[in-house]
Amino acid sequence: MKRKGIQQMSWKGLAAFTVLILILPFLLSTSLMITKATFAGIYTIVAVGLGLLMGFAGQISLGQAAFYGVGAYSTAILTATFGISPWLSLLIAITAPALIAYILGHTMARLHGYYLAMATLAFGIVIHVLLVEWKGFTKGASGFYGIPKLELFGFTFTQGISYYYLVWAFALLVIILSLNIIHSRIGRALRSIHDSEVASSSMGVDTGRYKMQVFIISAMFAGIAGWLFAHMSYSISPGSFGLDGSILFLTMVVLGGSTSVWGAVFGALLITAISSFVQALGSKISFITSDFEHVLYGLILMLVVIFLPQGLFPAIAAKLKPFLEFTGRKKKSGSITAVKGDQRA
Amino acid sequence: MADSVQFLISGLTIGSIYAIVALGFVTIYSVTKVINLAQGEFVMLGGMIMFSLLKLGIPYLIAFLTTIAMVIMIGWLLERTIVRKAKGADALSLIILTIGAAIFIRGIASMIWGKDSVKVASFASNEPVSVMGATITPQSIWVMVFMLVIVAGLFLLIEKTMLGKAFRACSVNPLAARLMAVSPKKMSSFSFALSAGLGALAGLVIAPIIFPAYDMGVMLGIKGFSATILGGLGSAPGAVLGGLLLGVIESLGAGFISSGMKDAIAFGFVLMLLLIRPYGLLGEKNVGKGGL
Amino acid sequence: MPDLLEVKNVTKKFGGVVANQGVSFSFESEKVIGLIGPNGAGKSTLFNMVSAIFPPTEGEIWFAGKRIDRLPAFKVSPLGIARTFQNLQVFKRMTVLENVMVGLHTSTSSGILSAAFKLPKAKKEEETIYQQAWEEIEFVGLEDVAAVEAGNLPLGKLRLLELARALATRPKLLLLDEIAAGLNHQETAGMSDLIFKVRDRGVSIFVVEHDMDLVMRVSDRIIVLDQGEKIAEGTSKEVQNDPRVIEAYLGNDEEKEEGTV
Ligand SMILES: Nc1ncnc2c1ncn2[C@@H]1O[C@H](COP(=O)(O)OP(=O)(O)O)[C@@H](O)[C@H]1O
Ligand SMILES: [Mg+2]
Repeated sequence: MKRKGIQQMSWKGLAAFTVLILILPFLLSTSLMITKATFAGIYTIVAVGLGLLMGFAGQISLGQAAFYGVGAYSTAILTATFGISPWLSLLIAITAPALIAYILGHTMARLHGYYLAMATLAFGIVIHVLLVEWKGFTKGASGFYGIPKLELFGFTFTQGISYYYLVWAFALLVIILSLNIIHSRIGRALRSIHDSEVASSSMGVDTGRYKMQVFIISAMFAGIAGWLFAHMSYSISPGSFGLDGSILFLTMVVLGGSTSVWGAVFGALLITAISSFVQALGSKISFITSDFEHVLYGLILMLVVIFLPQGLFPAIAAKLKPFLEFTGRKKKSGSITAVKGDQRA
Repeated sequence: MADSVQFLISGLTIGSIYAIVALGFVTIYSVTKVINLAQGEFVMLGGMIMFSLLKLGIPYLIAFLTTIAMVIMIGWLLERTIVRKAKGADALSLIILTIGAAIFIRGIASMIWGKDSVKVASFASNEPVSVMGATITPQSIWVMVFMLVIVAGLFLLIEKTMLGKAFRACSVNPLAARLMAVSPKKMSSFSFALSAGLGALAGLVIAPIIFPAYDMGVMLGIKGFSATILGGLGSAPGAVLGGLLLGVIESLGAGFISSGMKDAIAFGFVLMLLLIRPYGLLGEKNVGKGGL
Repeated sequence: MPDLLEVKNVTKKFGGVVANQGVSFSFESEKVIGLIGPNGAGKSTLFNMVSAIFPPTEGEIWFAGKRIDRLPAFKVSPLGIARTFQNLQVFKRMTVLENVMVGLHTSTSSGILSAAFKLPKAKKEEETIYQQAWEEIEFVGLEDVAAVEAGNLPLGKLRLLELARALATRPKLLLLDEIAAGLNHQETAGMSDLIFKVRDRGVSIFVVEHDMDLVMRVSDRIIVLDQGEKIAEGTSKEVQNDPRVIEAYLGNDEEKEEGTV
């Protein structure tokens, strides 16, 4: 049923995006590009979670890469060291980050903004140190080798097209779940906190609880992404899960914008593209190094906050709107004229 | 015993640095309510600029003062060109902004100085002295002395001068401050300049001990931020206490447990403490009304 | 049967400012109680404590036999207290309908997972509260702007929206903090009709209002605050003739809008 007056999910936007994802591999010429596009999917999963946390719970996590790492390493250890099925370890790769988020979240439930930033930053560093130092389990800084490939009904997902579709299936699922959440009573509750926390709590909204739940969800998404990354890669090392990683995810969300799910998706795609482009350029021009990439991210963060606080996506979506209703806002044109009439009166 | 004294002393040394960095956070926070995560980069710039100036053959004292002046300029510029443009943004955006600034500065630094660590000469003689079976380098005494001098200097500046009065007025009530003809804008620039100066000092005193590199600001910044939160956001005595405590715990952890684990131990401690005492050691409730 | 609301010796201090000083009163169900007093008398502060936005410095507040002054704000709504805000607190970036649906938040319970997976329970709840929200919107007469983002509405409609949103929580006690402030004559008259309609639904109403005609007309009993203290209580006649009330108002005839909370 179509309900007038509620900001609903736009199936048209989702369908268009799905089609784009389906045909993309046929447009990419090299296997390297397919791998990049697969990574874009993995990053999308993390970014969407982080976007929910920032845009809807108004909190910042500077340790999202650590949740991603917990997901990756827990499945790596469980499958390679203990021989457990990857599909079973997926459960652990989701619940372990969730549990940690639940504990960390207690610093947030009672506290204000900066503390979660601090707590997640500290947590990220603790995890990174543990990954390096806890050699018995993680094999230390040199990395963990021998992670098995995913198999389903006798089919093996190897790096390439099949893994691309697997990752994006998960990413689309995560996008749909997130859209469902923000269009539910909980999404409304979270959006209401943004506008007036006082009014929200006098309507009976337990603000701390929902912030906590979104934080847990964002950790779970990062865990899923970590699991996908591990089984794609054969080997993983702590370097992928440090502060730089967390800041990369942050940059994606800030660039795309966190007021809608699509903003985070867009940010993840764009940053992956930019990074691939810079790296490709770097192989030709010696001046362009990984430092250059960092300077660029620093610039992006500063410029976006100053000039485009809502991120890039809303600006682009406004232009696209006549073609595709991406943001999912359905306003009856009749009622808009009605209001305009009112304001004149 | 001798070991414990040794660990304690090195803990207090590094803790003094954290305390100075934390005071930089508090300085900016109390006036502008911004958490400046680029604070660590000021420390790095202090160390690296000093290195370059000394390499040019400039006398130590002049290099020292020039470094401070240059970093103060950079802090002031950061406020004028970037932070001020985003005034009115929420706490979340401001954090992101300063993270962006940090990455940017760090990236530029690595282009200028490369990725290798450099060596900066000590203030004076480098003959270690022995106290209760532990050896102390003169530089670590310098570090602690500087910390104490900075604490005393800040206290005098804030409590006893007109500038300090204006500063406090801004931190309590910007509107009232404006009525008293104090410009919160000027105070905001001033707080960035002051805390950049503090950062530079921290970098200068620690440079001879740690072999500075382009990325030293990351950890020092985070530790300073932790110390600030540990002490209670916005409290200067809390920042000093938090910094020293963090330094000592880290050093004891490195000495008695494992040096590789020292950061995990330090931050594990911070996390524990935040769970038990959410407002920090000396913090009041309701400070840091950021993201909520 | 305990009183619906009982305020016992409540004092609230903000630093040096004493906003309420030893205020006590109580009332039963099914009444409209007026709360008046010059600007800064401490009326909004009292409302904030009754709705548990902050706790009193001293004293106790009881609601339907339950002590509420130490509860977090979100826990008093399910007990049956709802309010509107003097300095409007609408959810600007949500539609009128969605605003009212937030008012129905506690009458639903599906969690984040059933929301994510759109389980039947969540769907059914959505359907129910969508209907109920419409009922409240029709009750206050906002049908024509139901789909509009609240930030785009004029003040008169926003006051109605706050009322609808508060009613959606199914309150036993409704606190109206200057609900007619800034409204023109016609809108004010509409509002007082609405207050009667709400009373007829069996909701008790505690109303702060500067429009004396309105308060006198709707209230069964009136409590008067001045400088944080209760100085009078009684029927509108009694209060109007009370010398202390007259004195309090004489020194203070110019009423300005003032932000609270
Ligand atoms: N949150 C607050 N912090 C500090 N002072 C407050 C606060 N809320 C109200 N006050 C003060 O308490 C007094 C009573 O205010 P209020 O309850 O808003 O009065 P009224 O609603 O009767 O006009 C005023 O002096 C006001 O300045
Ligand atoms: Mg009031």
